[in-house]
Amino acid sequence: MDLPSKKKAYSQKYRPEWENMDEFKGNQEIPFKVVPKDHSYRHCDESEGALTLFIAEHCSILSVDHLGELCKMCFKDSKATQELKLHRTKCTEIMKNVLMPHFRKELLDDIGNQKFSIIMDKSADVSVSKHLGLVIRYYSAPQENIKQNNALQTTSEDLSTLLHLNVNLSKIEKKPFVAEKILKLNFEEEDTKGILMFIKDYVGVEDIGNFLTKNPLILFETVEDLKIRVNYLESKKFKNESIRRIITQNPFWLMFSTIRIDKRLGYYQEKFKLCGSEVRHLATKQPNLITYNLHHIQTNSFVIKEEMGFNDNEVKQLILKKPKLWMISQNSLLERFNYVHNIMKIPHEKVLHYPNILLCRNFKVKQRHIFLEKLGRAQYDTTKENYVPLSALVEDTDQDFCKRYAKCLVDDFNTFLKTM
Amino acid sequence: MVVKLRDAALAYKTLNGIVCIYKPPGVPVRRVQQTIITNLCRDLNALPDRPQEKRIEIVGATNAPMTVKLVPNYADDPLICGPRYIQDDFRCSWATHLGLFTSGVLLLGINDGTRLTYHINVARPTRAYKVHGQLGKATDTYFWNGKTVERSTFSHVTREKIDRIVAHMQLAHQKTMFELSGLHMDSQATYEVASQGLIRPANSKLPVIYGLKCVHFDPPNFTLEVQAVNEYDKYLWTLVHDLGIQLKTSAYCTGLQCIRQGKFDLELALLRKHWKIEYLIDNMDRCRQILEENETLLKPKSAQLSV
Repeated sequence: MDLPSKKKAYSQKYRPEWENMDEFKGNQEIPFKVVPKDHSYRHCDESEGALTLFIAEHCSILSVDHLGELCKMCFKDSKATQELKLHRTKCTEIMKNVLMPHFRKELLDDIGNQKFSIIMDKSADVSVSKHLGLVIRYYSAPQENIKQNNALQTTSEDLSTLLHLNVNLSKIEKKPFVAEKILKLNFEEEDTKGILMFIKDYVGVEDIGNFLTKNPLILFETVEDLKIRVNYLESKKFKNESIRRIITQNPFWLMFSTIRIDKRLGYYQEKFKLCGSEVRHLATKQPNLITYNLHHIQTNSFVIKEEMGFNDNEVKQLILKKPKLWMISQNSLLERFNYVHNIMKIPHEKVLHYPNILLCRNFKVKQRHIFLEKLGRAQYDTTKENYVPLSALVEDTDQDFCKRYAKCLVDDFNTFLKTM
Repeated sequence: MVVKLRDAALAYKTLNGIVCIYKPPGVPVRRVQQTIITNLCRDLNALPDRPQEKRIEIVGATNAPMTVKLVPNYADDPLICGPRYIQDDFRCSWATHLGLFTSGVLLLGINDGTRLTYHINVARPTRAYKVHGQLGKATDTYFWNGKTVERSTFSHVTREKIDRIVAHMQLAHQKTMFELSGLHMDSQATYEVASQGLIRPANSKLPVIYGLKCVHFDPPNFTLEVQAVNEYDKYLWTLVHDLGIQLKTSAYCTGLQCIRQGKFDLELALLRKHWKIEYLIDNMDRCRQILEENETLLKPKSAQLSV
């Protein structure tokens, strides 16, 4: 049996000459046209974008159907959410046409011309759709620090400049904040060059590496500021060598504004009743003391004056002789003094005469003192015979100590140490 | 005695084993460990090491003959990647913990030696201590750092009295030793074990004292020498306190010194000033010799107390 053919046989087909006929002329253009709405700014545009970004980053697209509804329900008072229209189709389109071009551009800009590595993996399972995952790894200057990528250092001209100055970059990169800043620095700029030259003048070629390792942030100051700070020292009648010494010894000095330095110098002058030349002597001898933590200085002053019982004049002598005493921890300071004064019975005047004994670790003084005591040689009185100076407890190697003061062999001292 | 080292890499490779350290009083074991490792890093970094690696760079257009250059590799520069040897490169563990105020012999395992310290600890060698005490005062912690809670006279204590009580205490401890062995006290097996000598305890929880002797008596000060297993600092403090009570007076501990751990004695121990790489490597060598000569130190074959 013959089945009727489904295809209808039209005798007449479309003919182009019809288009010229009068009766069809009006219908030529089919009025199906996308009329662009006047796309004014809607409050919810931004929130739709943000929601899409959230979906792209954290979950699957289908859930946006409900997320939009949920937002509308929860935030009734917001105009932006009431107008919100965001379902899966729109969400996909926003992702493809709005977010993707933006982030692609950002990524390309970030990579620039530098090298990167590619990691690839594809899905090889039974499912119909195949995936090819591509990950690129690159160094992002504004986001990461040096540690992430060694390749950067081999190519960076700027950092190799620093390296030739003998700067220890491994120490700088331990502070991510500083490392990030240094990376952005341009060494071709006149300012940076000027600062380097300026520091070189005062510090010398050998020490500049050490200087920059300790204080890399100096490169962000301006040359004028540094000049003003040095001029201030000159105006205060510091000699040229002292200025050099101050800057070399304390790389952070130049970071302090003249006002702060002036305040600090004034503080020491007033607190310890120093005259001008004495302040200069103190600042030259221990430049770190001037910029030290003031709270620490105050507590140590209290320990030395009140707890250890030195009078004002003696305190002044002490700070001029051994400013370092103000920079060590107050507990160990007190412990050392306690041992020297109360157990070894050394009077204040003798401690004042040889303050180094307070800078030496307590166990060293202790073991030598007990050893001398066992030998019956612990005699620290200058007026009597067999006098042992306090410096013997601190300085020299054990060999010298045994030979000169204990008058025995080092092995005996070592055996004694193993009984402590 | 101490050899001069020439190569840092070689020196690092030899640093596998245990070292015998003299721990000073008042310094925690952790700090001792830290100091030794810091010193090792410092000394290794100061030694001459392999030359810096070079990087090969091939430059030029790909269609023309290219030039090959050797440039310094910044990734291998100590100024960039930091010092070659850092503290994380070392593993370190102790065989037996000594308290803060205890001084004396401390066994530390470095790198592969950490395994040895474990074996030593499990083998439970005896340790000898010198316990310094003072009569006439008792403190709440049984040590000199505590508050005084009692004072008493001690003129009636004589050398004979202290010896008698110390001997009595030793006997009591040796009896517990057999009780802790897990054997029935009235059995033939116990008799056979006991007839051969002293035995080590079955578990690591209860302290056992094998020998107790008064080696120095000069009232109010006295010194006891103790050989023990599984002891800890506070236990030895209480020992002095108990002794004081049994002497019908009071006593507290003024110092504690470990003078021997197994076969490792004071003579071998390194003083604080000698915690340097040459001394440590030399010491490690001597410790290795001792371990080779005495296999029972690591793997005791019987319960019999050999060390």
